[in-house]
Amino acid sequence: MDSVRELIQFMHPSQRLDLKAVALTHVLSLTGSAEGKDAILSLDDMLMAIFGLTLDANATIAKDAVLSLINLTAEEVGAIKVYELAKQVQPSFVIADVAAQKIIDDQAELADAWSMVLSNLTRVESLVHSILDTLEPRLSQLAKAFAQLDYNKKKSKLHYLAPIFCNLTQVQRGRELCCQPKYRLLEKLLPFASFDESVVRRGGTIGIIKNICFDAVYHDVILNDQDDILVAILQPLCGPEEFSDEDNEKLPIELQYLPESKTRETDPDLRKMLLECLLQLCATRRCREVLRAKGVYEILREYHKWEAKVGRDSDCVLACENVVDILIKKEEEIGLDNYKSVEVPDDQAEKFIQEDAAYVKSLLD
Amino acid sequence: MENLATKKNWTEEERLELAAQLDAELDSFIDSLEKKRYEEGWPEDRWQEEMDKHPFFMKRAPQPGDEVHPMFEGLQKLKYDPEENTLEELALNYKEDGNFYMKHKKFRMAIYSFTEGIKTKCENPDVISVLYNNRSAAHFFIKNYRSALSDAQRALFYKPVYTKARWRAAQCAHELDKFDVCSQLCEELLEVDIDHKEAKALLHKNKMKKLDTERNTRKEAADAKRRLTRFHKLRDAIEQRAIKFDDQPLNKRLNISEELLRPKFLPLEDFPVHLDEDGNTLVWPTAFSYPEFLLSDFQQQLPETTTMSDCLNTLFAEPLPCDRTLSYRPESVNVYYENRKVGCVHKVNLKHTLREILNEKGFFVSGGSLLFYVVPKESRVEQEFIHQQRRPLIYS
Repeated sequence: MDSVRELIQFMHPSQRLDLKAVALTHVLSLTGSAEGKDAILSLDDMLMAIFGLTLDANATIAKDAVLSLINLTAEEVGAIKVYELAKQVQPSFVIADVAAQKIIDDQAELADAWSMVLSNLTRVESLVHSILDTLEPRLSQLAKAFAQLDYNKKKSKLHYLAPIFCNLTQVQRGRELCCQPKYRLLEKLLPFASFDESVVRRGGTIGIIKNICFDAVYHDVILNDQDDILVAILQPLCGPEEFSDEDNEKLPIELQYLPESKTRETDPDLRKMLLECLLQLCATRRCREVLRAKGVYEILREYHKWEAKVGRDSDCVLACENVVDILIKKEEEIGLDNYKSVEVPDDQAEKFIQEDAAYVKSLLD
Repeated sequence: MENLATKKNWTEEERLELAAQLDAELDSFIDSLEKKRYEEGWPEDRWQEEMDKHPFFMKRAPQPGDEVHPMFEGLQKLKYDPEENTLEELALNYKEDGNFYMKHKKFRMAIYSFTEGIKTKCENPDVISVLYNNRSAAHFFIKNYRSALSDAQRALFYKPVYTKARWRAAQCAHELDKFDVCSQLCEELLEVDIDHKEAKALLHKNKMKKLDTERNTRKEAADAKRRLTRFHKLRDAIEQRAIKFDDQPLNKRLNISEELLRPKFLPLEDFPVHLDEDGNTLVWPTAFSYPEFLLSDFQQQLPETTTMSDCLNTLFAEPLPCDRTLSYRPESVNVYYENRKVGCVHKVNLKHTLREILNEKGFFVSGGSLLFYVVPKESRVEQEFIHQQRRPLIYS
């Protein structure tokens, strides 16, 4: 522990370059292990030294400092500690603000690294409100940086903005901001649910959609005339199969007459999330009717065949069947307006879950 | 006379005398002047015309090709002479001209003026950007969207914050179906002013147009693919049955194309041979010719599973109008087809299906359709038909 403490003196910004570099390299490797992380997190002075070095003029020093922060914030405890300490430091080092600025700066070389730090921090639900205070004025700019693929001129891809937005939608306020029509944030984010080149972008965007779908308040927003969200959900589930002209005309425009080259989402976890979104949307009668009208059943019919033969993920097959079961039924049979108002007694719930597990096992031959 | 200048004392008489003398001299001088008319004024009968030409009184600007009043030319020189004006003043003069023409909807003249302004190459970017912006507007009104877009973009180059130019560029891009350029410009507009209503609306309209266009392209591709697949199946069915075409040399590989299968008979034009719904049966356009009457009947869609008997029953369900003697009944006629290669005719077995008939050695599809000849049994018409001179078609 003392040896670690000794490093602090070499990490002062005014120190010689080589001393700083060596000390920081050492610190960075410490953050790679659990004990090392704990040691560093217990030393406020060390953390403050790292904060200082993230803004060092030397590119390598700054980079190592930010990488250290990424490791330190990877878990909830570390994230909270780092965030709270940064707020107290003099002069102020509001870490979310620094990160946001670096991301928005199209010349910043460390934009990607900072985005990972911010992604770690926003994952902690208790910190989101405070971070939102800092980020709110910059949301439009962040969305712009995200949507414009060549935004950063120093090769940062900014893929981690997707998980950042996703984490922000964990809380109600984040969802509200994302869905606010004036800023059209969703419009810019949604197309990336099908972004082939980065699973991080896709995963983050689909996470955003999921958080919104799980909040019933937004179901009407989702299923209004603009099919943006619905298309974002369905597109990764659509394949190259041909539909008749009649069926095609039902679908949202982007999904009509898809070419032979169309492929489905390759990650089964993401497919499952999308199906869960659809399931959430089946909660109310009005929404079910909209889904049927837009040809969701036809899409899932083809998807089910594909998943059974090619995808072969049994959780996905079950998730798909859950949605299809509801969509096939006529409204008189369902008799309920809102599924969520049904109360399931605990022992019954237990039984259903076990039955499902057994069924899932039997699904794939 | 005494020297007038030195005379000191004038009597009243002498003064009066001098005055009268001077008067008389003046009169005679005037009288001696040549009598000339004043000709430099406007002729009375054409005074309105002249007035219209005078730069101070003209009501409309001179059009190219009009002869100009010399005073007008002088004013022009003042205005446009590079020696009389700095480049910037010159450019602004042209700008004013252009704006004047715009007000009067003379868009081509406006373009000309703005172009001259731009040609001055004056160094003030604000002036140049306005010239480009205004020229862009002129082009826009006469629907030269490409030029309008390029001018608007030039304006933005000289003045990046020029909102009006950016808005016009966005509209041009929309007209030209440059969807991505349009949406980029709209986003830029909204970044500066998030409440720019028109930009929001255009962004939406543009997106819808883009999605529609993309969908239509996909649909056409899907339709084309479907047609191609259907054609390939048809082609395979024809090859499988080893059907012969007389438009094609026998020994060469058969090249079945849409052209080959297009029916040459007008009534059959829209019914080329095709596979029916179940994908198994060929359906042929067929002509039945009556040598006796020099007429033909056309059956547009005959499945190959039909027998010739069935065909006859259909053809003669009602007697032919020209068949006075009722000789043309299903049981009283023979059906033949021509083998043009050899130059002879073959009789058809009425119990055979079309498919079987087409399979016969001498049967060739001609002009994308089937052709049969119907004559009364054991009649002179039949004999003449059979023995008619036919020259065989020779292929090299």
